[in-house]
Amino acid sequence: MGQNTYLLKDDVTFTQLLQNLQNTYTLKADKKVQTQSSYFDTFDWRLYRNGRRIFFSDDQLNLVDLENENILASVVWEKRVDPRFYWDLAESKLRDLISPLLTVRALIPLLKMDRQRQTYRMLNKDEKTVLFIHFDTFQVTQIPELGSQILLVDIQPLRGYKSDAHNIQALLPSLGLEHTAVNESILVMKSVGLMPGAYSSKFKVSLKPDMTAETALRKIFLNLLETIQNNRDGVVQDLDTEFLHDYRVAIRRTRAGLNQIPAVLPDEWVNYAKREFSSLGGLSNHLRDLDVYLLEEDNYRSLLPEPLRKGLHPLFKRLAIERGREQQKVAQSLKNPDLDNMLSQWNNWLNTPAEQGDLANADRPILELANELILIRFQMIIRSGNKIKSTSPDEKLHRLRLQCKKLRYLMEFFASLYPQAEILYLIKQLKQLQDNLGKFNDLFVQQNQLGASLQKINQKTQNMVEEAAAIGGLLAVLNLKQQQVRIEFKRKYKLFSSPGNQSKFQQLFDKK
Amino acid sequence: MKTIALYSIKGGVGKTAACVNLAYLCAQENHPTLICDLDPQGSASYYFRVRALKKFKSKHLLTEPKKVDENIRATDYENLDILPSDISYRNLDIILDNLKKPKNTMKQVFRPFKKNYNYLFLDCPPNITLSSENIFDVADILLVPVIPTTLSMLTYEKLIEFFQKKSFKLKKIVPFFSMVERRKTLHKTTIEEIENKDTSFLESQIPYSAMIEKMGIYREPVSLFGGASVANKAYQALWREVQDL
Repeated sequence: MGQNTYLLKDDVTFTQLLQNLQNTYTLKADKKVQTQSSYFDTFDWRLYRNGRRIFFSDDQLNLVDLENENILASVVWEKRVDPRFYWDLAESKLRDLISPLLTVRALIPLLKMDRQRQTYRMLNKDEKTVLFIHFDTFQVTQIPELGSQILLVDIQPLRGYKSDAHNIQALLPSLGLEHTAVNESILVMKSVGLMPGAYSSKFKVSLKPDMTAETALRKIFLNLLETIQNNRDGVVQDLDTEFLHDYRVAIRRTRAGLNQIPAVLPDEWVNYAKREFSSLGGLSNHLRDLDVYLLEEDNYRSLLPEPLRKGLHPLFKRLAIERGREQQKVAQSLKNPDLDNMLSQWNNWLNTPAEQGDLANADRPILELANELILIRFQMIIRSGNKIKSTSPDEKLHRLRLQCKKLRYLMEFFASLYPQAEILYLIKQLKQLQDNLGKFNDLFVQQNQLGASLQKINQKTQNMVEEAAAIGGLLAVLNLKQQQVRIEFKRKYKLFSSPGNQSKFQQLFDKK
Repeated sequence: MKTIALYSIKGGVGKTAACVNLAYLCAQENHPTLICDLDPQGSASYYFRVRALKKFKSKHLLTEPKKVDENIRATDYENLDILPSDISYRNLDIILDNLKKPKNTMKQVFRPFKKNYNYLFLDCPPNITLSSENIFDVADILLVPVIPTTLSMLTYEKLIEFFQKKSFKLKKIVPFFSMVERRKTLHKTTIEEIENKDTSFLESQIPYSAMIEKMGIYREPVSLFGGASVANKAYQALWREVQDL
């Protein structure tokens, strides 16, 4: 369908168009059909990015291939509330198709609209239909003030009647129709200001090598600020766990930028921002821990033998209640006007010229500074990593993890300055080491949390015994896993610090 | 893809009408469906108002798969396409006879359809020839309309004998009563007699009906102009039974 869609030029009406067509062709009108539909995607457009969209119509959720508008799968949805997560849906082909795309992200209703379709059949001398012409009127219903309608004409050729389709397609431009390659749902979205694919949780800022460090850093911080603002509402509304995650990552990246890229912006600003973003991040630490904990539920269950699984239920029930309370606390704090003031202060600074003139790095070309910072951090990692033996305390691995994180942020901030294949390759190398260290840390944190939960159990009921047994079982498994990850570390680090990798880092970043 | 051939040695037994209506009902259930009109009279094509391309001839059907594909046309109904017939199909057997492997040529012709269609309906010419043998081979179900008269029964029995002689799978043959007039004692008694000795007949019967004859005027499946008619209900029942086979 998509490739046969036409927009009406401003002064053309359906009535005129119909008259003009009827001068040349025999047309027969079908019944008018009105359909209501809503479109769903995740906040970061996961369906759109994968060439899909979901629309809801007539108690059915339909997954559509954006390229050809084919419905790939459908599932019945009769509840009054909108579906949110893939696991809300009945087991179905649709669910199987979207679950790997959505993972933990919620479906958000982006657009509700009415489509009125008047179809005309073009008939040949045998009165056989050789072509359908659909006159479509779209009206967005969820935002009434955007009252304008969108008129589209869709030509649906029939197999074996190619020449009829060619004829009419050749005629349409002269009747005031403009061919559009854009899919109808995308057209409607854009008409109300939605920008498919605009938001992504990946950090992406394009810098030029000869930009001053000051210009570059302002650009980076403004981008991160936008991400913080974009995700705030989703956290308050608790749409899914990833809003908080993206929000926190943007805060953490901001803090990393403030701490690691020195003498570019005035001290007064930097000190203020460091303090504020640190406390802002701290506000949601516990909520994020609980989110991660709760997301592990299925995993934990699978780690335990069947008889012990039941014991997890009370634990997760309590955690869910606690999370509810914690979420409200965080939501309240995000609605606080003090936060608006702080963020707009930061925004104002980032858009005002600096007065402090003695900043050593401010006027240096960003590429030069980036090379320096990345290389120093890389060498620090190699120095610390080389010292880690299998007998070294766990603490050393935690510190290495933090170092790696800092390097990763730097490489991502400045990725646009380097040949893409090379920088992405090195980021990937780093990521493999980070995955190992991250796993190690997660297992450590999980054991701590479980240990704390165990402390809270003191009543002598059967439930509590079961719960304690389950937690005990988990602690044993997680500890074993952590030891395995530690053994793997040696191999991963060896790969990362290999002479080949080291010289690649030198080559890309050592440009003196 | 399931291949259902509407076949009868005898003409005028309601074969094409059944083919058109069953294929339509099938497509209505969202199955991509193709009708292949093999009868040189082209009645199925006529019902759907479809003509074959001028350059498409019977030899193309058997030897040029690309041309076959080009000649498939959409009907006015969703999910239902047709490969229209051409008068040159009367020569199908002569052409088949000249080919190297005449016995499984049709199989090759229909193979590419598997990709796009769930059901293939064949409207077959009323005779028993080389092309019929190809059809017996390729069809999963050979749906045979039988008028409950002595003559019609005789041709049906001939078909069975032919199958036995040439070792085709007898199970493929699925007969049903067609053009039944319950008022006629002859029809009634014939049906009773046959049902006693031959259990392979489907329960659904297609009545003799003015509605079905009107298909020639409306050039549409019965559902579309005679939705509430006995004839339409009979086709629906027949389709349900065929689907379960």
